[in-house]
Amino acid sequence: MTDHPDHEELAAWQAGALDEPDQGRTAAHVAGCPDCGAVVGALEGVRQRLAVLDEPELPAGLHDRLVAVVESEQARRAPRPRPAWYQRPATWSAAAAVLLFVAGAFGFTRLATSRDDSGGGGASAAHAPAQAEGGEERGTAGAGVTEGRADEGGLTEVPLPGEFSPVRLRVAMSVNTNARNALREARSSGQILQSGKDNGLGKTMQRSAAGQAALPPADQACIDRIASAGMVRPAFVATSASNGRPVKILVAYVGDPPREVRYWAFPETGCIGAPLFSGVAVPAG
Amino acid sequence: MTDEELLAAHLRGDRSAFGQLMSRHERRVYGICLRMLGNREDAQDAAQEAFVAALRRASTFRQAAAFSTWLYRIAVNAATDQARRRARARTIPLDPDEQPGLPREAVTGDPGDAVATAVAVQSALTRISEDFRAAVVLCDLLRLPYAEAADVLEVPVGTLKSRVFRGRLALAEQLSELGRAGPVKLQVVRGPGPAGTGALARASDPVDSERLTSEE
Repeated sequence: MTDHPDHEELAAWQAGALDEPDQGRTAAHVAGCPDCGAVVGALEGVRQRLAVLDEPELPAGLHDRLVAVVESEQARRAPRPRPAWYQRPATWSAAAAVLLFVAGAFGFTRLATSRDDSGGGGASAAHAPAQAEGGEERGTAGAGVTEGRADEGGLTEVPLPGEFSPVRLRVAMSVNTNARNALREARSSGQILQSGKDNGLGKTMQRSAAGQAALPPADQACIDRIASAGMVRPAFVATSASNGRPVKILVAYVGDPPREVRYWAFPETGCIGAPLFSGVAVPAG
Repeated sequence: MTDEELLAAHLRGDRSAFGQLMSRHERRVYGICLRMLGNREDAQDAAQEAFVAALRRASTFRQAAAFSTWLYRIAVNAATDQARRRARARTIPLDPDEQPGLPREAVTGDPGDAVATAVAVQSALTRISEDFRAAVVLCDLLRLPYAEAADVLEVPVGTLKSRVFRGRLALAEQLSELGRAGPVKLQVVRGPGPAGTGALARASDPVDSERLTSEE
């Protein structure tokens, strides 16, 4: 025998997978060739033993579990197929402004202090040129946010001013009535130092600060602290002041694309210890 | 309604369509995962991952292939991912002496006992390389045509046939080893063997522990 079928061909023949001329020729060869017969025999033994592994029954409870998971996934995805609010960098600048109103609600008396003398656009210019002179603009626009309306579940819905009007953020308040009232009456805005849209670990933040100043070490340390917590992605650092004392407000996204924003306020001396306050904001509607 | 029509309905917003697809295919998807992974818990997790992934990627389905082909590919990948997660999770306790919780009872390869044979065969299956295993599971257990199995694994038909054959050969080695040595300890840790058994052989429980226990 000089023309043995190769092993793959034998396996295919055994499975009846060869086309007719080859199938018949291989059968004839195997019938007269002990070597190939032995190979086929060994393979046949394996196939027979594999046959004991029949299709398993679905374990009890798995169907219900799958249905529940798929339904919750569908529910999670259906109402918000694509968060348009995330697509607009301006939205995030506005979000920062809103967060700073919240800061005001927690007792910040002077929020307009900035440690960046190069201009209010230092932060948002990276992706929102229209915001370049937005520092003051936001302050003015911010003053227009007086329509905060308490709604269900301890949430306060804050319509954003001016060009951001289609976007609303719900700011969860840890203090109820007083905080809501303070939010309604907030009149101040802060200035964003650095901002980034979808940065990983502060990359965009550093880029947005480029050409002006490197990210201050204290800010970088704050970002590192957020990043080390996992589950969130640092968004930007804002500076502000509370009772004449400078503070930092750290903002991070949760989810990708983000489902919500979290924020923490620390003394400017560093992001150590417990935050002065913290909270969460989610896009409304 | 065909699978493909159901998927189209799902993409149009029919909230019940995907559930119907799942009911049709869940047993097979679970079967693929179980045979790839060798234990029920991992298989259930992988099946869940597979359907969630299918839901998320539904819009990427192209009519050029059958829905089942596409879904089985996702299932094989989910099982592979699950095996990797398992391998990572067990990085530290891989020393067999430190794994009292894993089944390592002797299994006699009594050919007259279908359950013992099933345990031995599943164990052998989890010891051969992942590529061979996937090919054998699809062709010899699910009995898919070669062309369809090749589509599932996204390899040429020739490659698929080669994997099936080499998988069977590797299984023959594993099983004859069981037969020759009589009672054989099911070792969790095995070095890379001729069939490329390595991380994946370690990654899965060698046998379904419930069945094994019933053999004692």
